[in-house]
Amino acid sequence: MTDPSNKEENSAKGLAHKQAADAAFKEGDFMLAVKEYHTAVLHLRGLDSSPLSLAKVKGEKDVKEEDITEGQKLMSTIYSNMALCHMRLGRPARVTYWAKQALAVNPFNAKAKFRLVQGLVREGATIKAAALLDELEKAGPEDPAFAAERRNIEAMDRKADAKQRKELAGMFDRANKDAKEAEGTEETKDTEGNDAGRD
Amino acid sequence: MRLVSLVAADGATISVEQDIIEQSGTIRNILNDVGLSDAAIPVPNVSGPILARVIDYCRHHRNDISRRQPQAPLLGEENDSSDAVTQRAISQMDEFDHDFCRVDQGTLFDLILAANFLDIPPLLDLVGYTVACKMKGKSVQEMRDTFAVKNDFTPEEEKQALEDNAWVEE
Repeated sequence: MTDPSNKEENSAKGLAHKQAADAAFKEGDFMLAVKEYHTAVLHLRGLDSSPLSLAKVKGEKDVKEEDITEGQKLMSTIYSNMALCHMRLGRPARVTYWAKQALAVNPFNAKAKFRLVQGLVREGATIKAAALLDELEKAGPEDPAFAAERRNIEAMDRKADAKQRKELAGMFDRANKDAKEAEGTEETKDTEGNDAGRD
Repeated sequence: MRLVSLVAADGATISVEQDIIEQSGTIRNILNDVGLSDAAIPVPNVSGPILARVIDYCRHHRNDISRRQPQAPLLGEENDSSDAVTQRAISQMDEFDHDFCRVDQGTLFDLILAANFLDIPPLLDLVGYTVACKMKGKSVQEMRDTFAVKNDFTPEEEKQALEDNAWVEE
């Protein structure tokens, strides 16, 4: 079984690596920040887990905010920060992945939800992103970050609309032209048949 | 196949093939995000002997490629409850899996913690199921005795807990 003194040592190391990651992020070294956050997670993960609670079948019960432990809040913050690092590194799939991990640990982490919106927008999933943004805006209607992301969604939707219009433009004209050409071919065949019968 | 070095809590270094250890979501995420390097990955919450056992388990299941990917539900199973998912996983256990769990309680608990830490859902299901079977049919006091759990409830808290979970006795 895990030695309690190791728990304290791992907790201290985990926090130190998190601080190193935060510092690397501020310096703009996002890859180093990701490495340090991963090392922090390795030291902090599972510290407040008990074998008996892990053994039981997980039920689908509603989680209340007061049930979220400090350890879970810390892990959720780290995962959310990793999502932000991947935003800076231009990896939208990893943004979405880590934002979801953050929300799995703490569903009340509003920053993580916003990171998920950002990841989904950059992956092109604007409908899902807009639905989540609606929820966030209810709690913070004046937040400029939300408004900026809303503008991103609208710009992507306009772009997708314009592309679709271009692809569909003249569709009916093309269909009519094809139909007329097909009629013309049939008339020529009929005429040839009649001429052949006249000799 | 490239080797990944892991350093356990007691300082033991174990090298394992990448395709084997990628059954661990924790390690797979590190490799996805920062790539494979010569630097060893610390596994500070798992001892050397337990880590070696976990790697043996992963080596046995090496050819099951689905274990190296995030566990997405299969078509038609997306709305299954976690209970149904666990039952399905249990039905797929083989003789190796059953033998793997014939260990003392301390080792069993360490394996649960390791499976959770390394994020290996099939292993967590396997060992968790084994512990759950040991709990079946036991009274609260019998479970405390079996698992050496101290009763730290006040009399009022214990009474409330029994009332909240009275449906279990029905």
